[in-house]
Amino acid sequence: MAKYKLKEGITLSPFGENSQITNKNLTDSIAEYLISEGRASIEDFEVSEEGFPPAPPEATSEVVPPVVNEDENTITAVVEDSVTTLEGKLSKAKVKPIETIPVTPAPPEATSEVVPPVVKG
Amino acid sequence: MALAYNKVDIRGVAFKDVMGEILFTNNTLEEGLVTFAEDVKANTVFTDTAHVVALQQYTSGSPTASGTIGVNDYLVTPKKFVVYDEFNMEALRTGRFNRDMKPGAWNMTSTEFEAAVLNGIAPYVSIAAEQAFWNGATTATKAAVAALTPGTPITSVGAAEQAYVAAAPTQLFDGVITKMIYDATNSVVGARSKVAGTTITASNIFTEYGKLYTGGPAVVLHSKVEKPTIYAPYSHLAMINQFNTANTYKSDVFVVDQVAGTYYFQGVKIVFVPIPENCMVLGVKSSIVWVTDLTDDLTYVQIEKKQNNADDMFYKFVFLLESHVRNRKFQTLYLG
Repeated sequence: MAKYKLKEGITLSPFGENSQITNKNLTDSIAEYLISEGRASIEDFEVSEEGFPPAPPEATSEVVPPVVNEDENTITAVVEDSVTTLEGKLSKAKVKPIETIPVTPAPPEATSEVVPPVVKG
Repeated sequence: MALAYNKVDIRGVAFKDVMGEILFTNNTLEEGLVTFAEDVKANTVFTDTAHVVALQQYTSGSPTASGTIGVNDYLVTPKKFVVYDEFNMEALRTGRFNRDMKPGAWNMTSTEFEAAVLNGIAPYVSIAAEQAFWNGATTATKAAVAALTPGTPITSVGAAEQAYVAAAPTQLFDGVITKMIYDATNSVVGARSKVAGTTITASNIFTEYGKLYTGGPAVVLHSKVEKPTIYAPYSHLAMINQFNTANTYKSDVFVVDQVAGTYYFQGVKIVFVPIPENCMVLGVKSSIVWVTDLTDDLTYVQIEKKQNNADDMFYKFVFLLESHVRNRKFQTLYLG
């Protein structure tokens, strides 16, 4: 649980314009270093002795190419959602394929057939 | 499709020059501030040696083997980059660039646009490559360094080093500074010498350069083979000049030739590259390597139609790039 969290809307650039610290890459040791070096003020942070939960990571969805089962002529697709936690651990949640609902074929559209007039002699 | 053209329909004349922004030059490339390993398409082995010898009492019989013949291989594979965007010259038809379009509705190519606008993209690509070379860090390296406990010993990452890697731009490869801090190939802390720094200003810049100067291995300053260089951020040029102005009649100043554009600290040449603020490297040029296929790739732009049945066009740069730091223990990183 992190002790420091940047207040909403605050982004730090401790090493110039090409460096950026947000809640996604902030750790307690980095926060304490930045405060001690005067690169950030304690006012920039919310501080909790109990600790904040980790910032929500950026979710990346990885789409596995569909596997074609030639025998049954069916296509199975698996979508894996990969989520990286702040601790750098990778947790994967596999979503089961959606069950196939059999579709009843629609009745054929009614066609109008023009019957040639019967000519009586 | 990103052609942002704030256009004025042309009625009179247009001034000849199309003026671009003032950009930093890629000094690393153009002044050859590092070593270039070209013609590297894929895996290339860089080998460093470090031996240990032992002086023993002579014996006329069979001597005892002692010492180490140390050889370290590093496999380097550059990453392949592309810079690509699309545009349509139809947007130019009523503006200044219509003047060199050939007669005929089919002809909508402006040579002036290609020469004055599209060719001006190359310096941006070059600078982006230079910044990645010095400053990037991969997501994996960021996670690995964030998980380390910062400490003062040289075998630990410093608090400043950890903060730097966390804040560095995410790239496909680790830049020079990141590679000095963390050796992702072997998953260990980088073997650099390190100096704990602070916020550098025009007032303390001489003192801080002194810390870097005395903080590295003495052998680097004494080397007869190759003189070291101090790699410093762009902002130090102004700070050094301000410091010298404020200390005009003192001897403890930087040696500067403003006409020639040369800067020295205690005889060590200073060069300015896009590294972060409060960061400096005291190293030798032969150890910092720009690994690529062809450096000229950064200036080669392909401009063509996307397909024959449409007038959409594209420009495209393709190049390979990776950084490598050899003999890391002889390179000193100042970071504050």
